[in-house]
Amino acid sequence: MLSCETLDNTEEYPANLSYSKVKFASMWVFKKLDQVGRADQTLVTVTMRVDMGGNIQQIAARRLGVRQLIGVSLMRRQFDKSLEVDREVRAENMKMISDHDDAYDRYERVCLFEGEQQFAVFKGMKAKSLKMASPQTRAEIAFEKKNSHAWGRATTTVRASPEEVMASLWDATRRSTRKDDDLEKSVEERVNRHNILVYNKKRFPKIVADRDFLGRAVWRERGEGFVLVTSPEESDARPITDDVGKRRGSRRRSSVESAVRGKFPSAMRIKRKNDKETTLEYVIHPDAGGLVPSFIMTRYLGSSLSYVTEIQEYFLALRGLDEWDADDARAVGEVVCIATMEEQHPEMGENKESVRMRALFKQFKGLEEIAEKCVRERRHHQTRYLLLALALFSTNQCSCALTSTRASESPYQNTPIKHAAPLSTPTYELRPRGARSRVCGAHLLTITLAGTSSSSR
Amino acid sequence: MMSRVVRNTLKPAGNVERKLCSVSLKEGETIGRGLALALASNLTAEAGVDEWILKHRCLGELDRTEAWFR
Repeated sequence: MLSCETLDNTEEYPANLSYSKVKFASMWVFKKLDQVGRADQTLVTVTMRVDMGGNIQQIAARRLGVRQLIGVSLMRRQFDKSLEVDREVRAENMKMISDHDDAYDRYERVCLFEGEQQFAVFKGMKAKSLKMASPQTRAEIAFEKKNSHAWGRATTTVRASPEEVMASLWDATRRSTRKDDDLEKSVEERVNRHNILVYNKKRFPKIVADRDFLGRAVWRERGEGFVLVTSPEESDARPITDDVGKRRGSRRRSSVESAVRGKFPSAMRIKRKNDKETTLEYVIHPDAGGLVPSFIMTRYLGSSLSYVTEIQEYFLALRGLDEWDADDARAVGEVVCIATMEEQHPEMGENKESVRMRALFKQFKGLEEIAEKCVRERRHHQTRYLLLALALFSTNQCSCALTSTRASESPYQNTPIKHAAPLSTPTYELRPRGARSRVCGAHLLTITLAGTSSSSR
Repeated sequence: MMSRVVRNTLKPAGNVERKLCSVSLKEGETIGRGLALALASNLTAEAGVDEWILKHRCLGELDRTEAWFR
């Protein structure tokens, strides 16, 4: 627990007309939670009270207070271990899938049968292809006769094994798929190792009420892959209350205030393509419920189908540089050409492309390793010249400071160059450009001598 | 360099004759800017990329050392 409070010390800090005294009190409580896999968790609670003093209006002071509380969110981002947590759960699920030999009851078999029937819906129907952001994803929509709700299908290739993909998808509350519009996502019921009930509440635009979805997810191994089926379900844990719906002009509403129950039946076929790749086929038939016209849902079907692209990019981002081949690089190249969400908030002096690159280099493990490799090689290159210069001074008992002026125009400007002293004990450190300089290859080394030496160059 | 490649604007770009380990950020931008012109001045994308790689020494190094580069 950490507590901060302003002292009323009028003797040491007397009242002054040039400034106002602010009264500030805050309490930080850190509570250790259970580990997720090997990742530690801490619950941080901040209580804060700020009195800005002077003539600042209360409403302005409140806004400033909210800004202060955003610090907790920044702290969470700094210590984020989402990748580790997801990796742990995925490893557990992979083990569960490999050991799985449980029997399926009649209801589960019916769910799977109906789900697999969805793949055949597109046969004999006139489908219209959708233009997706990722060129690796192919999507299409089609309409059944006398049904205004569209069917959507998307296919893509993921660079991971079917077991990995299935293990990741079975973690319904995984952090990698958390979005801004997710108000709530939880597993309501775990019937067995292949049957769960998932609840998801989504934020919709302000003019439309929020939607929630309750679906039963069942998976089964099929040939060299898996089938994952989600079908709409009703449960006492999350009941639909009709009376609330009638009052608000909607046919059906869930127990959660201002959320209309929708349906999102889906089926996903995960099939091994080769040793490295897996093909995903995803079919959906969404119905937002309430009074949302079906043509609006059809319009946004593409964004629902882009779920397979997210899966593809997620697994691509996990691949290290040592696993990369030409196909990986091509896939990354295509991702690089797709606009990201981060581009909407560029920093001062940054253009959209730079923001995108920064985000992708942070997200993709392979790209991050390329950047690290470049920095390492650059340092090695600089160190070679530094060692050469040091060799000149190793015979002298003096201390020197070395700087590469090329570093001033590189992004690694303030990177300290650390290496062992080669022969004797000259001490060296990074300093601004000094008086004496020496051109050495492509780099201009600035050497400042702090000792006495007759042969300083 | 990558951000200039993605921007894909037709602008004249100079030559960079440095080794890969000594290319600066500014030179990287110059190299990246050159791809759009190379692609526009060749019939196929492959030929454009070939020209771009041959033009800059550092890209040749990268092409030889990294399997994923092309």
